[in-house]
Amino acid sequence: MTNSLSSELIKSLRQIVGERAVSANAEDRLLYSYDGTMLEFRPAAVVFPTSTAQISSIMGLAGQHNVPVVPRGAGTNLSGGSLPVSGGLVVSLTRMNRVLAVNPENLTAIVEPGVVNGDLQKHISRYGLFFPPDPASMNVCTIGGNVASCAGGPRCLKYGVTRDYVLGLEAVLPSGEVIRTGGQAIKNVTGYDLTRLLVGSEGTLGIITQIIIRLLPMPEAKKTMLVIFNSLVSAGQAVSAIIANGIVPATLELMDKLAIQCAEDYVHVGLPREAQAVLIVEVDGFKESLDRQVETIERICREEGAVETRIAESDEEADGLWLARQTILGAVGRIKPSFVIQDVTVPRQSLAEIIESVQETSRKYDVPIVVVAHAGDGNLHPIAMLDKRNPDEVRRAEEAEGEIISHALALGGTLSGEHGIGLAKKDFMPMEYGHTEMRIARGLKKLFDPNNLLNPGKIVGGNA
Amino acid sequence: MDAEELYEAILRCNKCGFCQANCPVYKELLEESACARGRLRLFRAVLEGEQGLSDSYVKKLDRCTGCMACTASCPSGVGPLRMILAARAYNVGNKGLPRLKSLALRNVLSHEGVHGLAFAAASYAQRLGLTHLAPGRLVPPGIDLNHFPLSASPFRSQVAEVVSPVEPKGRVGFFVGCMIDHSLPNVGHATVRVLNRLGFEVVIPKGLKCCGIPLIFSGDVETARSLAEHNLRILSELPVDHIVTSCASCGNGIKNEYRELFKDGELAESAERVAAKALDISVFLASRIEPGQLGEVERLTMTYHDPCHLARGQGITAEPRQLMRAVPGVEFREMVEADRCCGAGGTFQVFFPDVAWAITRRKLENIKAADAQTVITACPACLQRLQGGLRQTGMPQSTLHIVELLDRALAVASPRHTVETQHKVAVE
Repeated sequence: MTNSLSSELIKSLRQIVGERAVSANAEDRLLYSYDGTMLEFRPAAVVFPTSTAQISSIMGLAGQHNVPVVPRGAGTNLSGGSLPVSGGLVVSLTRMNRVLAVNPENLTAIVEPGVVNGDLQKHISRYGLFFPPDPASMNVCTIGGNVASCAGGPRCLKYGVTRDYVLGLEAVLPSGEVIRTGGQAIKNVTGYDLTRLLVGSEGTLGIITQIIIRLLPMPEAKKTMLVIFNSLVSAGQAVSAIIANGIVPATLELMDKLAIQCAEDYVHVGLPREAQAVLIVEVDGFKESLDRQVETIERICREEGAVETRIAESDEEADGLWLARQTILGAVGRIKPSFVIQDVTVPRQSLAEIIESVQETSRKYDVPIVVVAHAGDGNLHPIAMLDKRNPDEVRRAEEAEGEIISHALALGGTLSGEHGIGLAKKDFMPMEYGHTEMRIARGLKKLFDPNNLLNPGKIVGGNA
Repeated sequence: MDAEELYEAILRCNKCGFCQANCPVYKELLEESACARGRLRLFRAVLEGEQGLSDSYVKKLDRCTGCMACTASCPSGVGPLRMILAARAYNVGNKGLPRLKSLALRNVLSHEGVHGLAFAAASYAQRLGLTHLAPGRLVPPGIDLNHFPLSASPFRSQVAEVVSPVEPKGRVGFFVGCMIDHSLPNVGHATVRVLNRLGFEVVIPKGLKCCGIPLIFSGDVETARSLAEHNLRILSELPVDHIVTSCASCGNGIKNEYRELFKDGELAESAERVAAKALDISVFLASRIEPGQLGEVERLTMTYHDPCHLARGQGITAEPRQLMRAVPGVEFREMVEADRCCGAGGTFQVFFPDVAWAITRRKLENIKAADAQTVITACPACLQRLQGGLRQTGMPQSTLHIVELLDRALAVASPRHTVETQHKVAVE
């Protein structure tokens, strides 16, 4: 546990990044102790580099002084991945935030890790391009964070997740060495896929300092629908039916009644407060294809019991629906101050089943659970709400979590679809990784980080 | 809110971080203390007894323009700006105001006599060219001492207490506020003229003091309360149907903050009544000006900057645009990030000039990109900031308060209509 840095080390850090880019005061130690979870661990200090060279020097110094290092973007991750569990130095990438290049001919861009996803989208929209991963926190989360956690989002149903859009990386290893993986070529099988190893490595193998991303041309048009159901399970069944009918919309998002009400309390866009579930379905593509997609989806949903379908008639209306969906996690603060969120992902055909079992778990442990899902992917986000000051509520929420995870794995699912394992799901890893898989994973970690200094205590690692 | 309610409210922040999205200070500094989530976490640590009121802590809480973007982005209903103001109040309650702020806010702004003298002195110094002598390092970027608008005499000494048209069909009170009084009296004159032209007698009570918003935003709730109480006693007795403001902050004060200050006390009912009568000038005029009454001023492209305390503070965005569009000859062009803070933030621009200037520069870039010849706004503080910024960067755009635009348009349409000589008596 490294709770403080020597004045010599602080001085050296100041020489690397400048006086005002290093802080070891009590306030900043508190401010960099948390992320989007309810957990907190104080670092010894925080530093704000703006170049790869600076980060390389920082890692070199950290190695010399045996100080753990934790890279951080906006600090909104939901896995505890940004938490300095062994103290040490937080390296904030927020000020390393330039879009270095956009290449419309190659459909690529090169960005620094601190670029905010939403800002990137705005920037490249001027070229008629977009970057598909659209996590709910896109207006605050950084591309570096997206890459480190292999972030998803609603559009990933049709387009794929972050790893599908990273062509290459530059990263600083715990040794201070800088590596470059992949490149600008769209197809690349030269050597082992180090790029994909780093994507989703949650800052435990290297600090990502440059990302070559793949972009897509924006679809000509889109239509967004709100489909209303009287039962959460039939909404789940409708999702499976849509996919089984050969339609892959851009998004198939599910919200349960409590989610609808929390969101509506904030956004006031006229969401149906008494509905048991809604689906937000967006289709995109050439104008001519949209009506047919919409009609087909509407028909299928009706057959599965939908009571109403509302098609957004303007961009504002569509934006309102998405704002509602994006702000649910923050909005549940209205009910209880803390939450434990799951990210289990099951094979699509089992969606209705896992939803039913979550509802049962909620009743069994008397824990309010909001259900939100990237339903088309089978990626469920049960949000168990609690007051962390109440040990009984904490215990019951944790038990509910354990049960949900067991059920998901029993259905052939996985612990995490897009948030990452971080700290929060680490204890569950043995349920999914066998001994050999753990050995290989730990071996990889050891290869990259022999002294276990980079984001220790996450995924499969031990604490420093 | 009592301490327990405050603590429970702060706990509702579940750290989603969405406040980072639109916070103009965060966008410049890119560190956790510069967003509401961070400030709230620090304040919580203070309430839990873990964090002391160090200078660096106080600074982090002060380093916010009060633009309310966080409150607008916060899904959990915490109302982060209100928490930040509560934190400031806590600081002032325990530590007092720093000397300079105390001098400026308590001794100057809040005292009628001193107030007038200080501004008159400043205006005089400016006209004498003394401001050119100020050493460069004392002059913060974004604040041009030589051109900061300062009136030789306050607006309220230039008008009678009641100004009436020939056959008034109604009577409104006008809460002027310090910026219009001392800095931009033309906005005050335009307001009175426009109201007179529409047939309203305008009552401008001499006894009114500063609305108190700068005090609230600095955490000096006690002084704010005494100012507000003084003002409420006058405003609640005014025999008027409406009380208009041409300053977004004063309007936010009277409509919202006064109710908050007095909600559990004997002035609660009075605060509610006054709030119900209070209207921003753009809202008052939007439903009362007939299109035919507005003449063509000039063929100009115009864009609009939403004052924070109007757009987010009072939910008013449509009426100013509606009024602009109603003026013949005006081609309206919407600006990107029209409702993003101009960087003034009241005293923020004085105490955090570098950050303020960075925020103002972004607004100036957006103004340039809007490709409009004139920027209209509805708050004298924003007006002053934009004027200063445009001048300092040599940009050609002109600026006007919405009421000044309407004043000109009304005058063009009916040039022979003159305003009746002012009465000199107070209203019984």
